[in-house]
Amino acid sequence: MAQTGTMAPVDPELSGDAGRAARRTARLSVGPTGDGWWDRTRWFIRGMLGENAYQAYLAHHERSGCPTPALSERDYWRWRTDWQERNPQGRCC
Amino acid sequence: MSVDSAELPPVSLTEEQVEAEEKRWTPVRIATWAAIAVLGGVAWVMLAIVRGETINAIWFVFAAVCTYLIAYRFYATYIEKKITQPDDNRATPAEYKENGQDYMPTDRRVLYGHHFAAIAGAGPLVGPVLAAQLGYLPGTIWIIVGVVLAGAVQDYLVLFFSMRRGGRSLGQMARDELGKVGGTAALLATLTIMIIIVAILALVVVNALGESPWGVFSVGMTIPIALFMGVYLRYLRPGKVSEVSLIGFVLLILVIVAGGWVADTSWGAEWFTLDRTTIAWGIIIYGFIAAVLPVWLLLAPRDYLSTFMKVGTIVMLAVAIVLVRPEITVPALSEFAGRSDAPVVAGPLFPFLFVTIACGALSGFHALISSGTTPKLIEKERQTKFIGYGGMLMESFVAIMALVAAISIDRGIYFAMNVSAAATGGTVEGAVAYVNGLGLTGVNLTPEMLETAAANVGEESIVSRTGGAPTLALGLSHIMQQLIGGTSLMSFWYHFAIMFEALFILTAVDAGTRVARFMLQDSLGNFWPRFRDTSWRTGAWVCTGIMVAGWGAILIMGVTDPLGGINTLFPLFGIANQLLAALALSICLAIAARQNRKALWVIIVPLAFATVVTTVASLYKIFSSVPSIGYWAQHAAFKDALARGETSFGTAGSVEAMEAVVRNTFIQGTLSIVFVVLTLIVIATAVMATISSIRSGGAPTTEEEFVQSRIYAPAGIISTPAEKDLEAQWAAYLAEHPVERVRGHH
Repeated sequence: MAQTGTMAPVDPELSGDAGRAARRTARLSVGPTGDGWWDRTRWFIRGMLGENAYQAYLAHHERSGCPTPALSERDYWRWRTDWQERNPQGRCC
Repeated sequence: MSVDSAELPPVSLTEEQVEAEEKRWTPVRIATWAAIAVLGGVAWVMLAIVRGETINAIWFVFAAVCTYLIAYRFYATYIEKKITQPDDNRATPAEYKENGQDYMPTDRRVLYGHHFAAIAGAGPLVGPVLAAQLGYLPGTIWIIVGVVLAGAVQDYLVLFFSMRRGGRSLGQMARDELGKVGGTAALLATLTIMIIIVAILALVVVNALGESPWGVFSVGMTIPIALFMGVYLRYLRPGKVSEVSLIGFVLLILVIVAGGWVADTSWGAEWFTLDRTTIAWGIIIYGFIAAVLPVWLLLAPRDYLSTFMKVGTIVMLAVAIVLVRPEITVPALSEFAGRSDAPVVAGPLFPFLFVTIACGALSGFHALISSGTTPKLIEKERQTKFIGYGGMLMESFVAIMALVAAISIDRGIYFAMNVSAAATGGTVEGAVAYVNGLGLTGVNLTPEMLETAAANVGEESIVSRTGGAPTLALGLSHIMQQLIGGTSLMSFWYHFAIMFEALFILTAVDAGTRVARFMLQDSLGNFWPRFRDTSWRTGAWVCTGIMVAGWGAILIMGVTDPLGGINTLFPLFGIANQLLAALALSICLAIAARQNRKALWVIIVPLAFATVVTTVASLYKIFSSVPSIGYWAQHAAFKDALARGETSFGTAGSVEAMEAVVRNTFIQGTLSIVFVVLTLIVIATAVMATISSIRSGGAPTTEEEFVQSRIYAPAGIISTPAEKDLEAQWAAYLAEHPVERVRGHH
């Protein structure tokens, strides 16, 4: 069972898309980086293709307060595809 | 809890707020819903009662969309109140198990797209095309009514129940709810059903590519494109998924265009004109290699490409239908609606309409996606209605569009394309004679019509292009050319559509093989523990080999079948898919009874319907004495002919062909029996569990423990006023606590 409670700070230095997204919303999910239609469309397409997984991971890592440094983008994607290797996802007819 | 959650804004609307939102019937709201109801009603009247010479395709869109809106607003909300009873105070697995990997809270709108891309494939595009032989009305009614009462209900409930159980898979839930016997039967049924589904999907691709050098070239080129994308993402620019998908998409368009040039050269025609058996072997070898190669190299990039194409093409088709609004000349009920000798898929309307169209109305396969993948990404419990129920409504809409595309082409051409070569002889003259001999009103097929249509789409011939995909491609090109490019672009649109279907069928083939391999390894692990280790190469290769051999054998059987392959096998696909649905619904029933829910009829109605349809269809396939319907009748007829020493019988022109029919019908007949027996075991154990729960007024829950949620997000696509207010409170809270986050870690 997971615990809830400890308020982990988001690193104020956290920059880029992930930082903006983490501060913009009350949710855990990655939000669009701006309010314009282009930002929203880009956010939707990236989200649907799964491209924002790294941003979501970074935000998660920051929130979790885990002391080890976050994976680099390259390492994250390797970790992710290696994980998919062991956990195949079905595709429907 | 170390931090007082009282200082956070509420994480959920109160019950009173939800109630008040629902009951707030302002005049504008009443007028809007009245208008939707009237428009939908008028559209249904136009489709079902007013039957002029032609009917405009826009009425299909109105009938579907208005019915979906009403069903979503009222029926799905009823299910939410009576059965699921979501609680936004409860953290979802995505929140309490968040790991930056598979458990990841995802914005509901993004997740909707994600879930839709995972559930929608070739199924909703193929079934409606084949069912168009009965006229447009039976298919339309079943697709729309079926999704509202059955398909969307199944997807929603499985998603919700799996989410409450930490994202457990259907198989695990079956074990938890039904015990060992029911659980094992469910696992075996799922495994065999997956094999048959993969085989028949592959058969659709083989039929679309057979004798088509253009198609073989462009679809074949997707493999090097995917490999390039994989290397790009791994080594050059990791994580740039939309960038690489765009590059892949441009390359894809290039190879579609290049396919036309290649097919025109003598070497191109020589190299890439392959017969169906060769293509089938190609797909079998490809399937094995794809399933053992690293995921990043082939599977993942192909999946990105397929998602990109899928959503793009579906949006394009919807826009085109609304803008072009084709006039439909196909009758509401064709001559075959009241008979059982329809030429595309044989058998009476009940039950065969309901197994020919599975995906789009009720698809059991979705239960495998709705448990496992999507529930781990849901941010708030109340969003499950939008994702689960709403996602399936969108798939149903895709099926309606496929139906519209199929009925927008001439009915004579439709039958010439979809009747097996056994009946047409595969020649233009044969097809013309056969189709005109059917005696259909308004059908007067000429050789020129078939030749022109083939030339327009850049194919040698379109006679007996069975399997649904080529018909859909012709329909799509017919609609698109009216919007862009005219007849000169028809061949491009045709091959674009073939590519788009082949792409995600092949994705389903290799993903399905992988999933099935893991299921098999897990099962074999019970007897030989080493098989559980999925990184053990030998085990992986052996299990992949077994799975590929399973679907490969059925594929080869379908390709070489003298009776026409897809037309005899497709009912087995629908039966398998709906048996899986019956299985999923029966597990949902057991769970709902355990929770002591009252409105169980919501589950019992679709469960009973799916059970009756698939059982009756299976019984027809097993016991019917009409050889075109019953597998065993066919089996016996050919066996007797062989025993009499005949050297040709029916459409089989040689002893080998006759022996092939005897073999094939034996396998098909056996599979029919296996499916129906396994599923009836599962349903029986579920019904027993349900009755015992009802008698004792519920049973201990199998849900995971309650965890307090500490986040908030609205439930539907558009925030209600109360939700906006809550969002504003959270925005204000976060503005005051800029660096604090609301969630802890493990």
